[in-house]
Formats: sequence, structure tokens, C-alpha cells
Amino acid sequence: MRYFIIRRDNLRLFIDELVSDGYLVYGATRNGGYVEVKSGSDLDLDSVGVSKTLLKHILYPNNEVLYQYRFTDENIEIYDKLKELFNKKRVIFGLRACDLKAIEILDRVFLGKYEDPYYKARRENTLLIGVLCKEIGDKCFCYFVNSGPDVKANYDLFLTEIDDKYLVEVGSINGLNLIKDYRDYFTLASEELVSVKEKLVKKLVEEFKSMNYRSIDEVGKGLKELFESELWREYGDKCLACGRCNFVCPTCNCFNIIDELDDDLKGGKRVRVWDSCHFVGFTRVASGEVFRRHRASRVRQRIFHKYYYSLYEIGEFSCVGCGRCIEVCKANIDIRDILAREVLIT
Amino acid sequence: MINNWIPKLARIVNVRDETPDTRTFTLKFIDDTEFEFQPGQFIELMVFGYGEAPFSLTSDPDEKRYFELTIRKIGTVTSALFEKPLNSLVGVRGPFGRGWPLKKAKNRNLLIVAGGLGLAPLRGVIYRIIRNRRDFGRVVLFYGARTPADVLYKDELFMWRKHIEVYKTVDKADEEWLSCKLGYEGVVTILFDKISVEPEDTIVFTCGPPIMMYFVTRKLVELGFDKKSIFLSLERMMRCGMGICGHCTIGGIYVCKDGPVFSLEEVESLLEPTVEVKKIVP
Repeated sequence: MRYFIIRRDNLRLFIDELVSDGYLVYGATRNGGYVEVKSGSDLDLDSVGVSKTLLKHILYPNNEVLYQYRFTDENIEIYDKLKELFNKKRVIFGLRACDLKAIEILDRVFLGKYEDPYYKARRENTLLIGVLCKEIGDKCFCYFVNSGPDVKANYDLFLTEIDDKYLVEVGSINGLNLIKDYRDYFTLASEELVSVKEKLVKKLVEEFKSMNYRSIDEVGKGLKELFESELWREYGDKCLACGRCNFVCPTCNCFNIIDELDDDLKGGKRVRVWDSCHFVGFTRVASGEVFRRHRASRVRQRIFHKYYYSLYEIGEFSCVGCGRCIEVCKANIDIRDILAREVLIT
Repeated sequence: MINNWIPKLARIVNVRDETPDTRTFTLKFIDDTEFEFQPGQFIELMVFGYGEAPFSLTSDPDEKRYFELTIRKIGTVTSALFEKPLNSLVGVRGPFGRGWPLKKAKNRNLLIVAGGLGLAPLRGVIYRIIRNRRDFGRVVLFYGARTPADVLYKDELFMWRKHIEVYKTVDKADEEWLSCKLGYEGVVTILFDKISVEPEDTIVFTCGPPIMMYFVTRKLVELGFDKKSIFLSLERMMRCGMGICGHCTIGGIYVCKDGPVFSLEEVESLLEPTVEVKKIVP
């Protein structure tokens, strides 16, 4: 693997040039959240932990129009919105290890047996640039769900801040091509810097190890025995079923599709909206039957999906330890309890 | 690129009343293409302006020029559909899912147990059997409905008798039903007491309301049927049909792409209850 260096001041210029070359650049800003940035100086290069707001909307937006239709005299004309999606090059900058893992999980869902063409069109035109976390945020637990602190795969470039510069790891051909296209900003890195990065990672790992959690590998398989546990009633009584955890979760992919009529009533559109497994209507069928009526069963569904079912669906756990759901929960439900609870050991 | 989200336009070419609230719609693609599907599979039907809902394909799968859906008027989409005049256009996505494993029933006996609208996804099976009658042993249909008025495919049930054994029962009979001896009275499981069916070398297909399938499967296991030979079709809210939207999951499986037809053994091993209305959490 080849390593490069980009200086901190050059990084902002590099972003500026990407923008002026027509890339849509998304990154964490000082106001928080991965949003489109117009200049490198908008970027927040120093925040701790992950961005508190969304990530998945860049690849999988809420309220996405799938197609439009118009009623004509004898026919219905369908206009596929997919056509508009191609050829928009995008860069997401500043992704943490957990975010990169989350995108890997979304890839497995949306590019699995049935490819979702809308997701695919966006994903294929998107470059992922990651950054190593400098500190651990107070809601972070990536180490315990095997998604961090160091990145493993699924990135184009990965940056580590060392003094006034960044070490750049190349993770794909697309990443290498990007460096080639903007070679003025990059220089080759020495082996020495790589070992500095390794030390930084080790420091983060040591810090995680001092926390009192168990690894998901240990917990996940035992979870099956807890299907009927009292725990779910306890959580169910606390949960407000508001769905915030689902909407901020970078791997929650469930959605509903609704019809929106045009104002003249002569057409409409099909809109994909994010949905939440915590909503009572999530499993309702037309006859009125609701298959997960009690909140406890819905809380359990989310935890089991993240830590148990997904192991069989996509081959790995679908929680990346970013802590966003802990951050937003109004009922103070902490998903890390699953990793910490004594009851789970027995 | 193939976009599975775009429906194909079809025309409603015929509508038949089955019961006061249920009709069978015959559809034909406007570009006259044939429709390949297996009995037990489903489609997503789009009523433009109202939305999309999943319906099982009910027609003879070997008649590919058109296809039929038996639909009860119960929600937004179905109510809008019932208002549509003949020749209206609707959208169709699919077929989706895994249908009935008819191959497994070849050269063996087949017991079909249907409740109410649950006969709809099994109608295609019956047509395929009639077309290939020699490939199957004894074929028995147990059909239960709430009242005589709720019995689907009334004329066809008589016609099918030439080829397979048909036994009907209604939860609440009326005078005509009893005096003309049209069938039995009671829930569908009482047919097991009236008609003898042997578990040996027999495959079972069953579809109906969850509570009915719960009692039917329990009865079948009691009678010694193998759990691997009992197949049931489950109902969930399939939104996408492609295993992405998450609405139809039961304990880690997706009804839309892994089912909707499962063997009893498969669904029994799931953590979440499927047919049984069990205590949700202690």
C-alpha cells in the first residue's frame, strides 16, 4: 500500500478545488452534521467523536422521489427519477471508522440480491474520505462492535492527523486516481509516519479497553437466550416510540413508500420515506392486524436486528457503535446496556 | 439498468363478484406481454394516486396472457381499486417471493387447507394440479369460510370436484347450506374429524388467518404429519418485495423474499412467533 501526506492548509485548498471542479462535497461542519460544503474553510477538522446528525441521507435520502406519473386521456405516463441521478460526482469527507463501516452495511443491504438502483447510482459516484478520530466521544463504542477505531475496509482515502499534516492511506483505485488528479497537494509519506499512526490507534484502543464493556462477539450469540427476558418490558416501558434512534442510525435502512398527488390531481409521485420499527403501524396489515403491538416487542426487534438477525442476513452485526441513538434518545435508553448488563452474561 | 421500482401498466379487463366484499380482478399488461409466475407468489399492485399493496396471484399460472387477483375491500388501496371502472389502468411490480413447492408434491398426496381469503393464493395450485392430474396422488381440499356468503369461487369449487376431493365448512351455516347439504358447519379443523387424511407420503399446503393456521398446524402435527411437509403462506405488510424495506421481517427472515411460503419447520425455529398469538413479553 502507498502512503501520502497532505498538509493541513493544503487540505482546505484541495477541498476548494474539488468543489470548483464540480464535485459535490459533503463534510462535517462547525454547525454539525454531514452537509454539502462550498469551501474547505467550512469544514470542521477538530470535532470529537462523530457528527451528531445524519450521514445516510447523502446516499439514501429521506423523501426520495422514485418516479412521477401523469394521467393522460387514455394512459398513465411514468417518469423515472433515476435518470436524473447519474453523473453527479460526490465526495464525503471526514468519515469516521464507524461511518465507513455503516456505509459498508448499507451497501450489503441495498446492493444485495436486489440492487436498489437509486442507491447504486449515488454510491457508484461517491468517494469516501475517512479521518481517524483524535479522541473518543462520550457515547462512542466502536471498538466493542468491531468497527473502529481504525478503519479496515470500504474507504477510498483515510487520513490521520499528525502535527500539521495528514497521513493519507489509499484504500481503492478510485482513491489513488483522486490523488493522481490532484497530485500537487500530496507528497509521498515515510514509513515512520505510518508507525506514528499505529501508535495513535493503539492509544485509542487502550482507552477503549479501560471501559467496562464486553465485545459484541461475546454478547451477540448469547442474545438468543434473552428473547423472553424481562429486559424488553423494562425498555418498552421507557421507550416513547418516537423513532429518533432509527432516523439518526447510519445503518437503519427501513422505509415506507407513499403516494403524493400533484396539486392539479392529474398526476403524482411515489416517495420513499424513512420508517421506524418503533412505530406501531410498522407491521400493520390492511386487515388491522399489528404483528408487533407492544412497545417491548418493537424495542426488542431493533436490538435483535442490530445484534442478532443481521448476522444471518448480511453476515455481520449492523450496529457500528457511533452512539447517535444514545445521543438523541429522549428516554435515555442506552444501547450500550446490551454490552454492559450483568444479566446478559448468564 | 433494470429498475424494479417502476411498475408495469396493466388493464383491468374483467371484474367478478365473489362475496359481498371480495372481487376477482382480471388484469392484462397493456403491451400484451405474458406474465410468468408461480402459484403462491405475489405482486405489488399500484393504484395510481392511492398507493401500492401486495396481493397474491390467484389465477392459473399456465394461462400467461392474463392474471387474476382476488381482493377484499379493506383499506385505502383496495377501496380505490373497487371504484375503478373496467379498462382502468393499474401498475404491477413482481412477481415476488417463493411460491408453493409443488415439485415436492409430485407423485405424492396433497392436502390443501384454506381459510377464507386464504384460498386465493392456493387457486393457482389447484389449476396446476388439474392440468397435471396424473402427477399427483390423492388431492384433498379443506375449505373453511365464515358464512355461506363468504365462500369464494363458488362455481369453481363444484367444477374442481371432478378432479380433486373438495370439503367445505362454514363457521355459521344458514338454512340453504344445511338443507342442500352444501358442506359442514364449524371451523375448518372439524374436517379432520369427518374426513380421514393420512400423514404418510402427504404434503400439506395451508393458508388462512394466523389463528386458523395455528390450529391447523397444531392439528396436523397431532395427526403425525411431518413438519417438513407442512407449508404455510404468511401475511405481512410487504412494501418493497425485495427484502430492503424491513416491514415484513419476522425474527430475521423476510416474508417477501424468503417466503411468503415457508415450511412449518422453518417458521417454528424463528424466535418471533408467526402464526401463534403468543404472550409478547413475559
